[in-house]
Amino acid sequence: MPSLKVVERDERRISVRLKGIPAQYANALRRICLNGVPVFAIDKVDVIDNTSVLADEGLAHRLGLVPLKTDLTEFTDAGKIDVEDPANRIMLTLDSGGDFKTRTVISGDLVSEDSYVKPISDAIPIVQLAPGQKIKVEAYARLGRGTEHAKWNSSNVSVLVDADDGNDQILTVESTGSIPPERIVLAGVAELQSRLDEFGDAISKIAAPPPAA
Amino acid sequence: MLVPVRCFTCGNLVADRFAEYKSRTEGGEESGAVLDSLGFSRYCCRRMLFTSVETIRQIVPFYEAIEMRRREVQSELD
Repeated sequence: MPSLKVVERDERRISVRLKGIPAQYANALRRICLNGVPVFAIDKVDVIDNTSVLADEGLAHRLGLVPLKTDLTEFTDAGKIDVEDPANRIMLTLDSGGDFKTRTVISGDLVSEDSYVKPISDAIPIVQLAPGQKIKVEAYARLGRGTEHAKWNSSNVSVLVDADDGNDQILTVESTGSIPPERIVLAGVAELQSRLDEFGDAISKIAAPPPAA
Repeated sequence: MLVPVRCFTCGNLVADRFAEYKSRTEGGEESGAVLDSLGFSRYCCRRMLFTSVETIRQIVPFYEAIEMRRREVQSELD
Protein backbone atom coordinates (compact mmCIF):
# COMPACT_ATOMS: atom_id res chain seq x y z
CA MET A 1 0.00 0.00 0.00
CA PRO A 2 1.68 3.23 -1.09
CA SER A 3 1.87 5.88 1.58
CA LEU A 4 3.23 9.34 2.23
CA LYS A 5 4.66 10.41 5.56
CA VAL A 6 6.01 13.77 6.60
CA VAL A 7 9.49 13.35 8.08
CA GLU A 8 10.47 16.95 8.64
CA ARG A 9 8.77 20.23 8.06
CA ASP A 10 9.16 23.97 8.60
CA GLU A 11 7.80 27.03 6.80
CA ARG A 12 10.28 26.79 3.90
CA ARG A 13 11.00 23.09 3.41
CA ILE A 14 9.38 19.72 3.81
CA SER A 15 10.70 16.16 3.70
CA VAL A 16 8.27 13.41 2.79
CA ARG A 17 8.86 9.68 2.98
CA LEU A 18 7.41 7.92 -0.06
CA LYS A 19 6.58 4.28 0.65
CA GLY A 20 5.79 1.77 -2.05
CA ILE A 21 5.86 4.34 -4.84
CA PRO A 22 7.61 3.39 -8.11
CA ALA A 23 10.84 5.32 -8.75
CA GLN A 24 9.58 6.76 -12.04
CA TYR A 25 6.40 8.08 -10.41
CA ALA A 26 8.39 9.54 -7.50
CA ASN A 27 10.79 11.22 -9.90
CA ALA A 28 7.91 12.68 -11.92
CA LEU A 29 6.53 14.09 -8.68
CA ARG A 30 9.94 15.56 -7.81
CA ARG A 31 10.18 17.30 -11.19
CA ILE A 32 6.64 18.66 -10.94
CA CYS A 33 7.31 20.00 -7.44
CA LEU A 34 10.32 21.85 -8.87
CA ASN A 35 8.73 23.58 -11.82
CA GLY A 36 5.27 22.19 -12.54
CA VAL A 37 3.15 23.89 -9.90
CA PRO A 38 1.79 27.24 -11.10
CA VAL A 39 2.74 30.38 -9.14
CA PHE A 40 2.35 34.09 -9.75
CA ALA A 41 5.16 36.24 -11.14
CA ILE A 42 5.25 39.59 -12.87
CA ASP A 43 5.23 39.02 -16.60
CA LYS A 44 4.30 42.29 -18.31
CA VAL A 45 5.43 45.74 -17.23
CA ASP A 46 4.11 49.02 -18.60
CA VAL A 47 6.78 51.63 -17.95
CA ILE A 48 5.03 54.99 -17.66
CA ASP A 49 8.06 56.89 -16.40
CA ASN A 50 11.62 55.75 -15.75
CA THR A 51 14.43 58.27 -15.36
CA SER A 52 16.52 55.96 -13.16
CA VAL A 53 19.94 54.64 -14.18
CA LEU A 54 18.44 51.19 -14.69
CA ALA A 55 17.08 50.56 -18.19
CA ASP A 56 13.38 49.70 -18.59
CA GLU A 57 14.17 46.05 -19.36
CA GLY A 58 16.47 45.84 -16.33
CA LEU A 59 13.68 47.16 -14.16
CA ALA A 60 11.16 44.73 -15.67
CA HIS A 61 13.59 41.84 -15.16
CA ARG A 62 14.09 42.65 -11.48
CA LEU A 63 10.34 43.00 -10.96
CA GLY A 64 9.77 39.66 -12.67
CA LEU A 65 12.09 37.87 -10.25
CA VAL A 66 10.30 39.15 -7.14
CA PRO A 67 8.57 36.07 -5.65
CA LEU A 68 4.84 36.66 -5.11
CA LYS A 69 2.63 34.90 -2.56
CA THR A 70 0.22 32.59 -4.34
CA ASP A 71 -2.92 30.99 -2.97
CA LEU A 72 -3.55 27.87 -5.03
CA THR A 73 -6.80 27.03 -3.24
CA GLU A 74 -8.31 29.98 -5.08
CA PHE A 75 -7.43 28.32 -8.38
CA THR A 76 -8.66 24.76 -8.17
CA ASP A 77 -7.95 24.22 -11.83
CA ALA A 78 -4.86 26.36 -12.16
CA GLY A 79 -3.56 24.33 -15.08
CA LYS A 80 -6.58 25.17 -17.23
CA ILE A 81 -6.56 28.93 -16.62
CA ASP A 82 -6.22 31.07 -19.74
CA VAL A 83 -3.16 33.13 -18.83
CA GLU A 84 -3.67 35.47 -21.78
CA ASP A 85 -7.02 36.60 -20.39
CA PRO A 86 -6.59 40.02 -18.70
CA ALA A 87 -9.13 38.91 -16.06
CA ASN A 88 -6.55 36.44 -14.74
CA ARG A 89 -3.85 39.05 -14.30
CA ILE A 90 -3.08 40.96 -11.16
CA MET A 91 -1.81 44.50 -11.44
CA LEU A 92 0.91 45.84 -9.18
CA THR A 93 1.84 49.49 -9.35
CA LEU A 94 5.03 51.22 -8.36
CA ASP A 95 5.27 55.00 -8.15
CA SER A 96 8.32 56.46 -6.53
CA GLY A 97 10.77 59.31 -6.77
CA GLY A 98 11.03 63.07 -6.67
CA ASP A 99 12.64 62.93 -3.23
CA PHE A 100 15.36 65.29 -2.02
CA LYS A 101 17.60 62.44 -0.98
CA THR A 102 18.78 59.29 -2.73
CA ARG A 103 16.49 56.43 -1.86
CA THR A 104 16.22 52.73 -2.57
CA VAL A 105 12.93 51.59 -4.05
CA ILE A 106 11.98 48.30 -2.37
CA SER A 107 9.46 45.57 -3.11
CA GLY A 108 7.37 46.93 -0.23
CA ASP A 109 6.63 49.98 -2.39
CA LEU A 110 4.75 47.76 -4.86
CA VAL A 111 1.01 48.24 -4.45
CA SER A 112 -0.96 45.14 -5.40
CA GLU A 113 -4.62 45.19 -6.35
CA ASP A 114 -4.98 41.78 -4.72
CA SER A 115 -4.83 41.40 -0.96
CA TYR A 116 -2.97 38.08 -1.10
CA VAL A 117 -0.69 38.24 -4.15
CA LYS A 118 2.14 40.37 -2.78
CA PRO A 119 5.94 40.14 -2.67
CA ILE A 120 7.03 37.58 -0.06
CA SER A 121 9.49 40.11 1.33
CA ASP A 122 9.17 43.88 1.55
CA ALA A 123 12.93 44.41 1.65
CA ILE A 124 13.95 43.46 -1.91
CA PRO A 125 15.77 46.41 -3.49
CA ILE A 126 14.41 47.18 -6.98
CA VAL A 127 16.46 50.25 -7.92
CA GLN A 128 18.20 53.25 -6.38
CA LEU A 129 16.86 56.67 -7.28
CA ALA A 130 18.97 59.82 -7.11
CA PRO A 131 17.18 63.08 -6.26
CA GLY A 132 15.02 64.13 -9.20
CA GLN A 133 14.81 60.64 -10.66
CA LYS A 134 11.44 58.93 -10.91
CA ILE A 135 9.91 55.62 -11.76
CA LYS A 136 6.28 54.85 -12.40
CA VAL A 137 5.29 51.42 -13.63
CA GLU A 138 2.28 49.16 -13.92
CA ALA A 139 3.28 45.52 -13.63
CA TYR A 140 1.04 42.59 -14.43
CA ALA A 141 1.48 39.28 -12.63
CA ARG A 142 0.10 36.02 -13.94
CA LEU A 143 0.26 32.34 -13.17
CA GLY A 144 2.95 30.41 -14.96
CA ARG A 145 5.22 27.39 -14.70
CA GLY A 146 8.94 27.08 -14.21
CA THR A 147 9.17 25.24 -17.52
CA GLU A 148 8.48 28.57 -19.22
CA HIS A 149 10.79 30.76 -17.11
CA ALA A 150 12.62 30.07 -13.84
CA LYS A 151 10.84 32.99 -12.15
CA TRP A 152 7.75 30.75 -12.01
CA ASN A 153 9.60 27.89 -10.29
CA SER A 154 7.66 26.71 -7.27
CA SER A 155 10.71 25.29 -5.48
CA ASN A 156 14.36 26.17 -5.12
CA VAL A 157 15.37 22.62 -4.41
CA SER A 158 13.53 19.36 -4.99
CA VAL A 159 15.54 16.22 -4.35
CA LEU A 160 14.77 12.55 -4.10
CA VAL A 161 17.07 10.28 -2.10
CA ASP A 162 16.85 6.67 -1.03
CA ALA A 163 15.97 6.18 2.63
CA ASP A 164 18.48 4.46 4.91
CA ASP A 165 16.72 1.10 4.69
CA GLY A 166 16.85 1.27 0.88
CA ASN A 167 13.17 0.55 0.25
CA ASP A 168 11.60 3.98 0.55
CA GLN A 169 12.47 7.31 -0.96
CA ILE A 170 12.60 10.70 0.69
CA LEU A 171 11.45 13.73 -1.27
CA THR A 172 12.70 17.05 0.04
CA VAL A 173 11.16 20.24 -1.33
CA GLU A 174 12.33 23.75 -0.49
CA SER A 175 9.77 26.37 -1.45
CA THR A 176 10.68 29.72 -2.99
CA GLY A 177 8.28 31.19 -0.45
CA SER A 178 5.39 31.69 -2.88
CA ILE A 179 3.50 28.61 -1.69
CA PRO A 180 3.93 26.69 1.58
CA PRO A 181 6.03 23.54 0.90
CA GLU A 182 3.28 21.07 1.89
CA ARG A 183 0.94 22.71 -0.64
CA ILE A 184 3.58 22.25 -3.35
CA VAL A 185 3.67 18.49 -2.74
CA LEU A 186 -0.14 18.24 -2.67
CA ALA A 187 -0.53 20.37 -5.80
CA GLY A 188 2.28 18.32 -7.38
CA VAL A 189 0.38 15.07 -6.83
CA ALA A 190 -2.79 16.60 -8.35
CA GLU A 191 -0.80 18.00 -11.27
CA LEU A 192 0.87 14.65 -11.95
CA GLN A 193 -2.51 12.90 -11.85
CA SER A 194 -4.05 15.35 -14.32
CA ARG A 195 -1.04 14.99 -16.65
CA LEU A 196 -1.29 11.20 -16.53
CA ASP A 197 -5.03 11.38 -17.26
CA GLU A 198 -4.37 13.68 -20.19
CA PHE A 199 -1.65 11.38 -21.47
CA GLY A 200 -3.92 8.35 -21.07
CA ASP A 201 -6.65 10.06 -23.06
CA ALA A 202 -4.23 10.97 -25.83
CA ILE A 203 -2.89 7.41 -26.00
CA SER A 204 -6.34 5.82 -26.10
CA LYS A 205 -7.28 8.06 -29.03
CA ILE A 206 -4.18 7.01 -30.95
CA ALA A 207 -4.65 3.33 -30.09
CA ALA A 208 -8.14 3.13 -31.55
CA PRO A 209 -7.63 1.59 -35.01
CA PRO A 210 -9.26 3.37 -37.97
CA PRO A 211 -12.42 1.59 -39.17
CA ALA A 212 -11.62 -0.89 -41.91
CA ALA A 213 -12.45 0.37 -45.39
CA MET B 1 24.30 46.98 -11.04
CA LEU B 2 22.35 46.05 -7.90
CA VAL B 3 22.34 42.80 -5.92
CA PRO B 4 20.68 40.06 -7.99
CA VAL B 5 17.15 39.42 -6.72
CA ARG B 6 17.53 35.64 -6.69
CA CYS B 7 20.34 33.15 -6.66
CA PHE B 8 21.39 32.41 -10.27
CA THR B 9 21.61 28.69 -9.63
CA CYS B 10 18.75 27.69 -7.34
CA GLY B 11 16.37 30.65 -7.51
CA ASN B 12 16.41 31.34 -3.78
CA LEU B 13 15.59 34.93 -2.84
CA VAL B 14 18.80 36.64 -1.69
CA ALA B 15 18.34 40.38 -2.33
CA ASP B 16 16.29 41.10 0.78
CA ARG B 17 19.16 40.06 3.09
CA PHE B 18 21.95 41.93 1.30
CA ALA B 19 21.61 45.16 3.32
CA GLU B 20 22.00 43.24 6.57
CA TYR B 21 24.89 41.17 5.18
CA LYS B 22 26.71 44.30 4.05
CA SER B 23 26.25 46.28 7.23
CA ARG B 24 27.36 43.35 9.36
CA THR B 25 30.46 42.49 7.31
CA GLU B 26 31.42 46.15 7.16
CA GLY B 27 31.00 46.18 10.92
CA GLY B 28 33.82 43.65 11.15
CA GLU B 29 31.98 40.33 11.29
CA GLU B 30 33.31 37.40 9.29
CA SER B 31 31.40 36.86 6.00
CA GLY B 32 31.02 33.11 6.45
CA ALA B 33 29.55 33.46 9.92
CA VAL B 34 27.10 36.15 8.75
CA LEU B 35 25.97 33.96 5.83
CA ASP B 36 25.48 31.05 8.24
CA SER B 37 23.37 33.15 10.58
CA LEU B 38 21.29 34.50 7.67
CA GLY B 39 20.46 30.89 6.78
CA PHE B 40 22.30 30.58 3.47
CA SER B 41 23.52 27.01 3.56
CA ARG B 42 24.21 26.34 -0.13
CA TYR B 43 27.35 27.71 -1.73
CA CYS B 44 25.38 28.92 -4.78
CA CYS B 45 23.41 31.38 -2.64
CA ARG B 46 26.43 32.28 -0.50
CA ARG B 47 28.49 33.40 -3.49
CA MET B 48 25.60 35.68 -4.60
CA LEU B 49 26.01 37.87 -1.51
CA PHE B 50 29.73 37.25 -1.02
CA THR B 51 30.74 38.45 -4.51
CA SER B 52 28.16 41.19 -5.12
CA VAL B 53 29.39 44.70 -5.90
CA GLU B 54 26.66 47.30 -6.29
CA THR B 55 28.01 49.47 -9.10
CA ILE B 56 24.87 51.63 -8.93
CA ARG B 57 26.41 53.21 -5.83
CA GLN B 58 29.29 54.45 -7.98
CA ILE B 59 26.95 55.95 -10.58
CA VAL B 60 24.23 57.55 -8.45
CA PRO B 61 26.53 60.25 -6.91
CA PHE B 62 26.95 61.76 -10.39
CA TYR B 63 23.20 62.11 -10.69
CA GLU B 64 23.05 63.60 -7.21
CA ALA B 65 25.62 66.18 -8.35
CA ILE B 66 23.64 66.95 -11.50
CA GLU B 67 20.48 67.51 -9.47
CA MET B 68 22.36 69.69 -6.95
CA ARG B 69 23.74 71.82 -9.79
CA ARG B 70 20.30 72.06 -11.37
CA ARG B 71 18.86 73.35 -8.12
CA GLU B 72 21.66 75.91 -7.77
CA VAL B 73 21.03 77.23 -11.27
CA GLN B 74 17.30 77.27 -10.59
CA SER B 75 17.69 79.26 -7.39
CA GLU B 76 20.00 81.76 -9.15
CA LEU B 77 17.38 82.23 -11.88
CA ASP B 78 14.62 82.76 -9.29
